[in-house]
Amino acid sequence: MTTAATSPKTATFARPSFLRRLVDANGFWRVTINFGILLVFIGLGILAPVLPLQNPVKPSPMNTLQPPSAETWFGTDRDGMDIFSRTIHAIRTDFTLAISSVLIGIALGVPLGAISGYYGGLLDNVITRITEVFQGFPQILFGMAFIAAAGNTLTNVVLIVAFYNIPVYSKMVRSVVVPLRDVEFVQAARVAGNPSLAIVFRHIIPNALVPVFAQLPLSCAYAVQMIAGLSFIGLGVEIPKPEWGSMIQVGANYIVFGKWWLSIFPGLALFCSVWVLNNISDILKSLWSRRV
Amino acid sequence: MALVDIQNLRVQFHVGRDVVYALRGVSMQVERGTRTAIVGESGSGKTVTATSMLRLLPPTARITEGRILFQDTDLLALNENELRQIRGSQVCMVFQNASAALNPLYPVGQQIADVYRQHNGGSKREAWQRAVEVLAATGIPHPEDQARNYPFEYSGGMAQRAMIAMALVCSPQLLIADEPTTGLDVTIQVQVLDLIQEVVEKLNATLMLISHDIGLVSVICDRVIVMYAGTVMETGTASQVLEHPANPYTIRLLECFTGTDGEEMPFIPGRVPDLREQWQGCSFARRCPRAQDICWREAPTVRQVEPGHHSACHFS
Repeated sequence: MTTAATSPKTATFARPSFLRRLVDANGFWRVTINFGILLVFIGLGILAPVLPLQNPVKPSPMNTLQPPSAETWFGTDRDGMDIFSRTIHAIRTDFTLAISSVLIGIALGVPLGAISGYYGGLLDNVITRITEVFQGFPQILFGMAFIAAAGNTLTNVVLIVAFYNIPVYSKMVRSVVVPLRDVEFVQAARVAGNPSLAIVFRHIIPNALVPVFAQLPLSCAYAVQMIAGLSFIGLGVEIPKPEWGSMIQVGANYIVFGKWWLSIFPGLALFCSVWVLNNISDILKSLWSRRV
Repeated sequence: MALVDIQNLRVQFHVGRDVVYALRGVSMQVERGTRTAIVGESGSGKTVTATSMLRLLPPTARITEGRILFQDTDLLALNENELRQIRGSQVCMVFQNASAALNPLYPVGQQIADVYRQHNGGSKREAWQRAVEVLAATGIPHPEDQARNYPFEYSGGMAQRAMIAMALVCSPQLLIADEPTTGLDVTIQVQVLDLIQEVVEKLNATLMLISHDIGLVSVICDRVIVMYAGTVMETGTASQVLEHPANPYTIRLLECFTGTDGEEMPFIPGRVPDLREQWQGCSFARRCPRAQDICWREAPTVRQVEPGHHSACHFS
């Protein structure tokens, strides 16, 4: 009791934890299931090399096109590679590529949007118009053209997805920054003599990040889709490397012969990850809209 | 030589197709070491005058004419970099809504420390120490703990004290306080004004206090500038303007505060003119009981009533 009397800190109202607020806004099961599945995916991806899995890239000419069984849970593919092991290992490929491309997109898009929104005028106009032209291109078509021109490498796949995320984030941040520009604490920062770039990075951007965090899982979902899509048409990740899109493409040729397991398992993994990431984005958005 | 010399300042706002003439040739001088109040109704141009000085006007505003001399430099002619040297270190501003003037994402102490380092350099530790000191100096209890708290944990009065603390670490020559007591409890209002006065005395600074509350102004200011519809109506020492007002507008405005003997609460009939319009005569003519033909035809020039006491009226 004596501490309560001397320190005002103890008297302040305890803010409910982040998780608590998520559960309050979305219900226990929605949060648990979605975050649970995502954590399982991430956990499996991280642990894939140490789990007792078959070598995902070792062909086994004696065991091609085996249906699911006790030894090979998801069956084997055209080259006799274990589909279960490949589906798990593909998490590493797809998620790493997706996350790195989205992070690059955020790293470039957020400052761009903040600068465009804060300074306004001609600069803003130029940046916005360029991003709009960029967004006008069909995504996959642009990806194909870029990879055809720049070469079929993983770096190029990451870059193309990253480029595609820049306008998404720059526009979003710009829309949050424009009203922030005239908010009193930004004015106060200007009165205090801060250089304008310092105001953008220290006062504007941190206050504009909430929608960015809500958008991040959704962008990852799109990125996974796009990477798998490019790989499906033979661009980006090449065959022996485990990746859902290319696995589905290999399996697609065998579906008509009743070999359903080649495509269905990577397809399910792809579907599941995109679905869960979409849901998580929704869950985070609920937090943001309630805050206002 | 006046510390601040505003000459014939005209500011317009372009809102959609309308043009709002917010300042219509404002001239005023603020002498070094004085505590000058700018009073007037909403829309009279008090805040626009102050924000023009720091060039904080929104992008829709345009300064069409005039000069703002601060220590003989024209603030309107400075570039962004030169302006930064003046903002914060020479001119500081305390805002109306202090809670909104603090960034919600950083502890209050850190924000004050940042401002300190911006102007004085030094280590983070030293800046933090200084922040705690100034918070203590502004009468915030448990300054060490409060410095670590975030703005949402501050009450309105405490946030205003923190803003004043921020002004303290800047040690400016000119402190502009824009309605610093609006939205605070009456009991806190006087405390905050006292604090501002104390800080200004400690820093040996000049104060420009913007307010619509003549009663509060008379507590700490020695000079008063009365504004109406984007023009200056009357200037003088506090006792000249408040006790022997020369301008009909000031007279009516004071009646509203002090009251007359009648039962009814006094008020000024009519309303503030639409600032989108332009007119030839005196801006107060349509509400003025003494208005004559000349008031509608010609804008009054500023006349000296007695030494140091000026009024813009044909009849004063």
